[in-house]
Amino acid sequence: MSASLWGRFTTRATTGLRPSASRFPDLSTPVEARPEARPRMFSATGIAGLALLSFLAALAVLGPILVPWTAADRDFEAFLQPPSANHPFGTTASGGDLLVLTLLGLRKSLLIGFVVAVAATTVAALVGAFAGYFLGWVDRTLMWVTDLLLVLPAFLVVAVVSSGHDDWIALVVLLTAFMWMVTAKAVRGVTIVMRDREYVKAARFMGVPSHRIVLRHVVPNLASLLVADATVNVSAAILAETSLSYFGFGVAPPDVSLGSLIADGAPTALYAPWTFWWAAGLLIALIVAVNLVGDDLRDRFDPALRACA
Amino acid sequence: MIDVTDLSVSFGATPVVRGLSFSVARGEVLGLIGESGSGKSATALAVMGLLPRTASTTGSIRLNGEELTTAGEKRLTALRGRAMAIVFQDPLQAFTPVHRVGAQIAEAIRAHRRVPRKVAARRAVELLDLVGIRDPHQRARSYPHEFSGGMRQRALIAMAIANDPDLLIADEPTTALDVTVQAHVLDVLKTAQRETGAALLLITHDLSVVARAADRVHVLRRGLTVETGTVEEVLRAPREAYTKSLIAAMEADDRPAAARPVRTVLEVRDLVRHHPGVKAVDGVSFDLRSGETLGLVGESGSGKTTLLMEIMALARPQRGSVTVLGRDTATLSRRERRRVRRDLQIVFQDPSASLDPRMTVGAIVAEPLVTHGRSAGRVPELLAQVGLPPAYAARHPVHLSGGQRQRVAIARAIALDPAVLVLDEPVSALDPTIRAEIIVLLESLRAERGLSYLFVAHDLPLIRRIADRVAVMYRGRIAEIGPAHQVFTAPGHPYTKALLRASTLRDDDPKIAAGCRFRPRCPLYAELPAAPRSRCVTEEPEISGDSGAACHHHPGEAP
Amino acid sequence: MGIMVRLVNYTALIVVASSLAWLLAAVTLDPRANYAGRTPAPPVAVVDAALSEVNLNDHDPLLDRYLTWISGVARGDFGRTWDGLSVGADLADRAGVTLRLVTAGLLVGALLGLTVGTLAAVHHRRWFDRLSGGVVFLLLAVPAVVLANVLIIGAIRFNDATGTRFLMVSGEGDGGPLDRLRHLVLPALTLALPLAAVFSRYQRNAMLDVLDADYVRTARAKGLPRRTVVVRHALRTALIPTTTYLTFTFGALLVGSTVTETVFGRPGLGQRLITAIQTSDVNTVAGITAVAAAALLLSAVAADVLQRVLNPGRAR
Repeated sequence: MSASLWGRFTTRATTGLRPSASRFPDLSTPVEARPEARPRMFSATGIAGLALLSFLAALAVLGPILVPWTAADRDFEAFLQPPSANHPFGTTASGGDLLVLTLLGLRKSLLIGFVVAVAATTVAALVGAFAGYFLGWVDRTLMWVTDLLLVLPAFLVVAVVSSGHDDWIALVVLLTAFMWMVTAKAVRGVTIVMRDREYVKAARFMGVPSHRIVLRHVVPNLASLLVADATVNVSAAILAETSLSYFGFGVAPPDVSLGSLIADGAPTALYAPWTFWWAAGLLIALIVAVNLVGDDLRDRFDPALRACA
Repeated sequence: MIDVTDLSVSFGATPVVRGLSFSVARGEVLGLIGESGSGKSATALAVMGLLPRTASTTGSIRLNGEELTTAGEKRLTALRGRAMAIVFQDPLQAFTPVHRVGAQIAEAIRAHRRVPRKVAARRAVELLDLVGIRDPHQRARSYPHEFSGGMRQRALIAMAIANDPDLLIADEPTTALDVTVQAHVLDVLKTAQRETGAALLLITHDLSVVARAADRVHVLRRGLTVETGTVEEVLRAPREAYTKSLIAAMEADDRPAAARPVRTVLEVRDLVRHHPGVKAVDGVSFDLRSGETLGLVGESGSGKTTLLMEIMALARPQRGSVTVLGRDTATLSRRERRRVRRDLQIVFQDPSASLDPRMTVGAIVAEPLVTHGRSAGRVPELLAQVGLPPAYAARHPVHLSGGQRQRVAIARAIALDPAVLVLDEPVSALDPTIRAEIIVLLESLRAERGLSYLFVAHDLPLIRRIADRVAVMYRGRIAEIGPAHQVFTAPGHPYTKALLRASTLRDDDPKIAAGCRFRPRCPLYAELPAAPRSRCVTEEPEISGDSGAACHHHPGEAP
Repeated sequence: MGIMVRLVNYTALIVVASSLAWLLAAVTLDPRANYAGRTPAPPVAVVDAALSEVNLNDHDPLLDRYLTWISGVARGDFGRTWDGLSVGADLADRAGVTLRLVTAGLLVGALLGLTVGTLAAVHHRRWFDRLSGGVVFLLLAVPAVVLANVLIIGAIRFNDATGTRFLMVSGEGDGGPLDRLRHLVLPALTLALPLAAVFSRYQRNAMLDVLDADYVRTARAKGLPRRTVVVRHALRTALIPTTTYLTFTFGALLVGSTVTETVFGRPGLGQRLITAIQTSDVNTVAGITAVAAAALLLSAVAADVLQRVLNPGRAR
């Protein structure tokens, strides 16, 4: 059964670690005590991450509109110039304005990151929940496909296929196709535990059809895991896109992403640091922001899942 | 020996122990009793100096005159395991899973004495022998998961007494165990205490444990002392209402015996469910008649839960048959099965697990109605029937107490007007006072609606109070079945006798391939002469008819 | 699951994965482009002949080409590159280069990560935990391409400042062990630092879970000193899940060090992956896929074996 290949690893990583019983069964929560109010949504670091993320998102959406230059403009009086009043981020070797390029790159990276994360997490939730709930041949089939995609080197396949397409939508589809598997394994593991939960059994014994149990009882109760995982996938998608674009397999001109900017800037980074550092810095800030939010959600919703960050 | 004066413990702003004082002398057993949240485990950890850093402690704890609350970690490390030792509950988690049991006991010895590895290992084997582990040489080399629950608990006791401590604390030492095994572990604990002459602080929520093992008792509630005295005094003449309610829950009167109703609503015949390597249900037959309550008891692993799930699945069993209101589940079409589900509903043990936390109470109670194409308009009426205000429909389960949640689960179960309700330990997750209320509710619903209950519980007094008939399960089969008063007053099967008297039975016996499966633990078998014995070895005893005991040698059986 | 079933399943996964990669590459890539820029342009017939020679001619039916390739694989022949080299021999050469890099990176990363993670858990919410947490967080946000380039810039500055040429930023080195070492330092660090960050988080969480466990309390209750409790009971148990994770990472890294190898110009598998796509080497793409799949599945087997060794009690 191929399901045991990564299933073993991921369930161990996600659910198997934490001893099930709480430490002090006697003094934690008496059964009849008033249930506690819901915990606060975000910690201080989570709020910081959210603020930074909102700021970067606003910058990405509004910035390119406010900057007087466009991506296609070339300033023939300023080749590879350091930051100035005219070009606050400096210019590229061909006279492009780095400010507008960086902001557009940020926009594309953010867009790709979020779309891929949402799509991949959706696929993961459905595949994992159906495999884990139905088990049997459904599980074996779905997990075999999952294993197959896991053993395929994602970078290579995405690079091969996307080298034939210059469309960034194609890139999103490809990245999605290779990002859902680990989450799906985790979802499957949790679902297997969950299908023995009494509220799922109760629904089954009530005569609720299986697919409706999955969609109504299983998936909604995975929401916390999924939201946390989606944020992690945002940064994973952005990083993957960066690597691909760095080698020219990702976003193709005239589109720019932070990855393609870093690739363009790296050779000149030593003597023209502005070609490299703006894009690299913004990328790091973006990942930090996403990770801060993701970590916070993860800790809040599902402490048992911290392990697979 | 140990003197605790005015001890208070709090976690952050939450006090868990408030002004507790007690002392235990050498050779004495003090029972510390209280339900969950009463602060008894926090007290144990405070004495051992093992409270988490977030806890703050005031008051004084003196062991042999030495103040412990102000002692440094180094001094406490030296005292732990030598002067004072503790036996934790949940023995599965209490041993490090990757080390052998013997090695962990030897480690406790070597932590305090400079003895060679071999000597410590030999001593570990002796200790395992002392707590009644069979074949201790072999068993010392086992890993914790290879032990049964009772064996692990006894091994923990062995580890605790390894250095002849002055004070022995046992924190819920029998909670995770079955009645008959509990008795054995308590006996071992008493033996261990006698051998070492230690003072024993016995912490439990179970009054019967205190009655069996303690000299004096100290009743705690929400961190406060409710009453204290000798076990005799407190059990015979409790002064506080709380103690009285604890004692009342232990006692039971029989239901009046009545003629059995005629209509059979649920019939199970020779039902078999084998998992790989486990014969979970191995030929079970019984019937449940209209308006009747059948109590089902048995130790963990006896197959009760598997039996319930087999019934609830309404599918073709591996062998045997299940018939609900005259319909054999093996022949049902998908549509018919849905139809039958309306007549057979279930209430689970833990209401916080059986209600979908993301749904409102209203949606939860409406789900069976909507699934079967009925209007959700009955939800307020159903809530009222289980004693909940209609406004609760908008709440989520987390905002209800345990008792209220179980009421919601009951409302959901009766929404479709079923004929049979399966109740799987419906009150064992609740505190005693709430327990009584839910039982009253269930009884009145049964009377009003003429429901039939299949009621699973491990609480024997409770079963005695509410069941018309009782079935005792043992390792996948019914050991004894019959009218409640008959089973309780004149049990026919040696296992039933042991259960009712909470006699000592070990839980480390080999599984039997043929003959009577109770044989290895059977006190009767042990005394039999060779000739009648052979029947137990070769022939599986059967119950014929709707009452009886699966024993070749019980009084009603021909010799 | 029987060993045979597993073997069959793994073999099937490898065959299907590399076939899929071969087909995708054969449909998408265009080996003919390698001849396009030449002056004088070679005659079509010559190009066709050259491509057919190495089974890369897109004018031949796809199915025929696939059958040729797969029957070669069945005989242990992974085909040829567009310029006629044996894919098997080429990859075997490069596997050694990658293996050295990955082993060094993983060792350093694992040691660093496990140490930091364990200490952070033991000093939960104290300064070390917070500091290491911050550093780890930053490291996790730095993409490999940025880290590699930053290390190169740093090394050049360092060399300039000290007037030496100790840290080398390109190639593998062909001199003695010292030369190889100074070529290895930076790429190994590029791999090791993010790995250490991930491992330390993983180990920290594993340790925190274990430090909460009842058996750690039991160990303390029997009077063992704190250090013994942490090492013999907590760390020993926490290593079980972490080792599985480490083993899987090793399998994934064999092709996953693409960025590092390319930026530092080390002729390994990861770098070959890039050039294979650039030169439309369908057979090499499929070959690398087979190697990657096999590495991952081997690491799955290794993880299972390690589990058995580390977890004799088979604790869940």
